[in-house]
Amino acid sequence: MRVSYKGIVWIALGLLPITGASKGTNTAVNQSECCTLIEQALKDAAMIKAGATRADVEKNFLPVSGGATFGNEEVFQYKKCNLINIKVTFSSSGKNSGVAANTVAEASELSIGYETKD
Amino acid sequence: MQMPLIVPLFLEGNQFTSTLTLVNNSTATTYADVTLRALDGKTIASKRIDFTPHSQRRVDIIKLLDMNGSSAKIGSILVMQNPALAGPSILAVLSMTYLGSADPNYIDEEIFMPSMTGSQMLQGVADSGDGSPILAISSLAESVQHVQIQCLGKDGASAAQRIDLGAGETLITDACAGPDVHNSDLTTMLERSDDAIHGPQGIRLISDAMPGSFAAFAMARHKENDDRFFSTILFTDPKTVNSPNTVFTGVPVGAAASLLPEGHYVPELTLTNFSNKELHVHTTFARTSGDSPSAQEVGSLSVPSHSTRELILRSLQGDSRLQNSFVVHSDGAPGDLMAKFVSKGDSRVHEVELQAKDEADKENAGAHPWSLEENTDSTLLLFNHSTTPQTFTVTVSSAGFDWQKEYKLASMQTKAIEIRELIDEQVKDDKGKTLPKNAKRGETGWFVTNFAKGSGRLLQWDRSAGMARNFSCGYSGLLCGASTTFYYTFLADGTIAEFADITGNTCTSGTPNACSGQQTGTANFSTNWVSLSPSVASISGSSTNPVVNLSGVSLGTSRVNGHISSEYCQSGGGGTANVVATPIGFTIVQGPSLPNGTLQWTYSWSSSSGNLADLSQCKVGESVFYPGSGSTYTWPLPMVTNQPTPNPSVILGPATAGAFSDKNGPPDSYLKPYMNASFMATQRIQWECSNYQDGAFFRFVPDISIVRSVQLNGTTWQYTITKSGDTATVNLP
Repeated sequence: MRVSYKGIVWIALGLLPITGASKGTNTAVNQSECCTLIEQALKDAAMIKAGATRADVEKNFLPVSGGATFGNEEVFQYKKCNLINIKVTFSSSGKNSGVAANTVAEASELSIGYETKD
Repeated sequence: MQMPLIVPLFLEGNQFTSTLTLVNNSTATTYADVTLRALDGKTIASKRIDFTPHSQRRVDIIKLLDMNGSSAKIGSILVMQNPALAGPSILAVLSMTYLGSADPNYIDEEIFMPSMTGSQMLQGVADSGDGSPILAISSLAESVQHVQIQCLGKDGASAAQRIDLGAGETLITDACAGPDVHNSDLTTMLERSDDAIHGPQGIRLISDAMPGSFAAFAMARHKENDDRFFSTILFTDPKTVNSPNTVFTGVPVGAAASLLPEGHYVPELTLTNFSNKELHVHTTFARTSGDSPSAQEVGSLSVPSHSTRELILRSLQGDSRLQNSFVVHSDGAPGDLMAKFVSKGDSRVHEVELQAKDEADKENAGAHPWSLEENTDSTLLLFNHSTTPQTFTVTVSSAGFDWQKEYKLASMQTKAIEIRELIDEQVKDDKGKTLPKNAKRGETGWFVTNFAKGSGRLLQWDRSAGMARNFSCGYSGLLCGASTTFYYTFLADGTIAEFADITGNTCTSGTPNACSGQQTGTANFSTNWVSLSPSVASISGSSTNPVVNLSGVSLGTSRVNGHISSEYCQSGGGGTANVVATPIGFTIVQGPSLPNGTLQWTYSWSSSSGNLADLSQCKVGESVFYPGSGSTYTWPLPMVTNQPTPNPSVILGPATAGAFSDKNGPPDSYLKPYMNASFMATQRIQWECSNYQDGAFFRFVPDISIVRSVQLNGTTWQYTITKSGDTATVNLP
């Protein structure tokens, strides 16, 4: 899945009103369904830390069904909105060897983009 | 001080017309000042002629006289090029036409270049004529000089006279008979005849002034039945001659010369021995059929001291395209023997005249005006009179367009290049360019790297008019710099690539051993390439070609230098070759198909250096192109995806990974009612390195087709994906 800087910008833009809401401003935006979803995605992504398991990842994210991945990296879609993606790097190289890689080494920021099927 | 070029004689009226054709052989935009002088040396007309690079200009003398209100019909012409030019760049020929004969008589008077480093003597030869040659001597001095005129006929000295030539004056006289005819009118001069004077004549002029103080031109009179015509006598300073041998290029010989009116052409050689001892002469005839030259001795004779002899070569048959040349060898010293060569035809062209060229001439280049206007054709004739193959660099220019091609001529080969053929057949030059189809006139040039190896001339001809005009102006071309082009600064490890080329800049300076001057163009010279670190990048193949191939041996940097040289000069340039690692050894491993209809693959590669870490500036990945030109693609029903698919779908990752896995997924769902549907995507697997060929993408393998379809198999609807011969099928719910 292509990492979209544009998507990151959108996420960042989404964060601004959330931050603003804590200061009690612009309540019309921060209460929108979209912002609520993004805020939830951020919270769920924050759970994917080094040491987390594949099961932890797949609790809220699903692996994409197509496309190219490099090394121990895999792309996941957010279950509640499959335009939201995260790249997860697992600590073992089991994926390519057919052995499940279960331990998260690193996770990317969230990004948005259409799913690649290849 | 810059010396002017001089045309000693122009004629207008009395059935004569004169047109001065000038060419600029340089790459500069420039000008030349043309001055017409009356017989007494006074300026009667002048005009500044502007030139674009490599161009020709024509000046109708009668128009220039009219514009300046002059009624003069005879005089001389001075041409002074822009003094800012760093070498002789403007060359010229006065084309005179005599309309008093049954057919027009074409008389070509090449401009004379006086030299202060020459001698006080000029020598010329007249072919066999009727009456005394008409001689014009024109002064370039600022004071009176005395000129002795000696004629040498078959029986030795036939006549002699001494004339006084005023400053700037042009004197017309019968060279070999009669008194001086200062200021005589042209009609009187032309009508005078002396039947006692027949046969060929050698003419020697000796001045008591400084070298370069005078120039001369003469016309030999000919009678044929009741008709008359003229041939030319060009004069040479014997001090400027470097060898005893003389070359004649592109001679009509025998029957059916295809460039000239049909007829039989008989070469006639006239030789004058100006020395005090008998000279022995033999003549080599070099005929080229197709591209195959053959040379034979065709005549030898002895020429007694101070006398003139003829050699008529009646039985020769040559190439019909004028690919015939002659070399006249003498056992005298340079300048002792002077030769005149004409080819006499029984057609409308009485004589085709060939200008003698010194075999060891320092003029290794020529510049000529070409024309395809009206019925005129132009043929460039080149002759390699050396014993080894020679490369002639030929340029044809028109209205700012330059065409350049190398022609390799074997020893003693003559090559005829027809400019109309180059244009009509859109012949490509060495860079793949063709001449504009509407090109009608311009400048053409030739250049041989080595001195004294080649000669050339341009023939303008018109069979319907019986016209054959000769343009033989030459100059010393030299190496004055180099242009080196490096195609890349990076080279892939383990590969061989065309890496750079080097071309010499050619100039004219007027001095053969100079290494700078006015640029005339480019040419290839003797070349040598060297890599200073061959363990990093080595020369692959020839190191002496203008284009060099380089082999990337190991990672690192090497300086690569190109060097070119001529007999007197050298130049060159260098660049850096960075040998970098690139992905190689691409392999495809097919993985297990998934039950949902997903195909799985693993693509891997290695580094050309053997170390994946060396690929840090490279990326590998894929681009998948879907039908249509939209930025997304919606799959055809009943195949449904949750979101449109990016088109193209581009994924790039670090080449240091050495591999990536690839999944070709199924639709997310299927929508009833089911129906047949299919589409094809094209997958391109590629790599790029930011430090190699400007980050251009390269494909690992040819593009791969991915076909997805839904079809009824018996009573079951199925989804099928096919790629690279692998297939996955699932039944639809």
